Amino acid sequence: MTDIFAKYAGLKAAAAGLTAHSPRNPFGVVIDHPVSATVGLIEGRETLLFGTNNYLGLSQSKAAADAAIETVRREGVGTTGSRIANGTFALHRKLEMRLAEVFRRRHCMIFSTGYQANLGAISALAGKDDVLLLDADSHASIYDASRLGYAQVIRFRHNDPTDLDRRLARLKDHQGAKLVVVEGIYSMTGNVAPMREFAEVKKKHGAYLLADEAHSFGVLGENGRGVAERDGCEDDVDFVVGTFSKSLARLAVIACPISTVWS
Amino acid sequence: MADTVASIASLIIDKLLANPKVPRDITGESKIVEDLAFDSLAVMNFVMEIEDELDVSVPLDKLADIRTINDLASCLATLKTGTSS
Repeated sequence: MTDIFAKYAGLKAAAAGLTAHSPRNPFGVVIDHPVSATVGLIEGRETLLFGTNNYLGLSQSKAAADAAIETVRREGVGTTGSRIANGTFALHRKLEMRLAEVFRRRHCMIFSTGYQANLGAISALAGKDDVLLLDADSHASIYDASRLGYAQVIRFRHNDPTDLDRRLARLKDHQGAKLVVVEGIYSMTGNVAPMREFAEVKKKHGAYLLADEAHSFGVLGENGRGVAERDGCEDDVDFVVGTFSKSLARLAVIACPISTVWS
Repeated sequence: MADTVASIASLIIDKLLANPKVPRDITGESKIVEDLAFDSLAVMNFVMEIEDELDVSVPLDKLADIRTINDLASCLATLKTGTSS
């Protein structure tokens, strides 16, 4: 019988090598409980948290906690069904409409996580006759979405509108739609996308642009709508994806198209 | 340039040999990950260099099947002649 875990022998050895030289497993840090938005109790010591995505410190908001408690008492702890079955409550619709209003879009769809928003949106938008063009430094959720769908997937050099332009030019005879996916701020490097330049390239080639503003929502732009707002090119971004898990400190997500994709 | 598998393989090998860390005895049968000790990031960067040189884009699903230098050359040759499905 083949050992199903044998393929992870190399990874296991690498992890062991890492922890052998460290007093603790860096991947196994446990925060006993948060003390504040920036301090957590770790190994009994109050520790500054520099690794969160809690950009506005809202995870400890009393107002949010009170609202959540009141809502849970009124509506229960879950819907127990998918959105198209019994899982849509009035609050979902209210939130979606409010977000669409905030982003000045016609529609908005909430998912349970930003990861799922990308999986759902990107795999559905780009079909088998279409081409997806991803920034090379894309988040795992974007790469996974590209594998989930049936579109042809091409990578372009990170934050490089010239390379995107070159690759779109190679697709000039391609009949299907072309969807370019970029992020506002890249999570591992903090690099900000040259959104306006990407928008100009996509317009030149008749492509669509999806911007994942997960790390830039609430952070950039005068109204916190992200890099597209900061660069004054929101009208050229066809789809925006965000998350509640960073600046808004709570799991939920958004995917907001300009055009009527979903009724 | 005749974009045959052999000529592209040769181009790839020349580019690889420009990197002093690459073993000198690589051939078309050399495995990109194992024999060149390339991690996924290094593979991606290298493929992008070749894409620029040949003016093609390699779709990610095609990349998944590539093991050897000849596999890569063959894929690129197909893309250049526009006969891929």
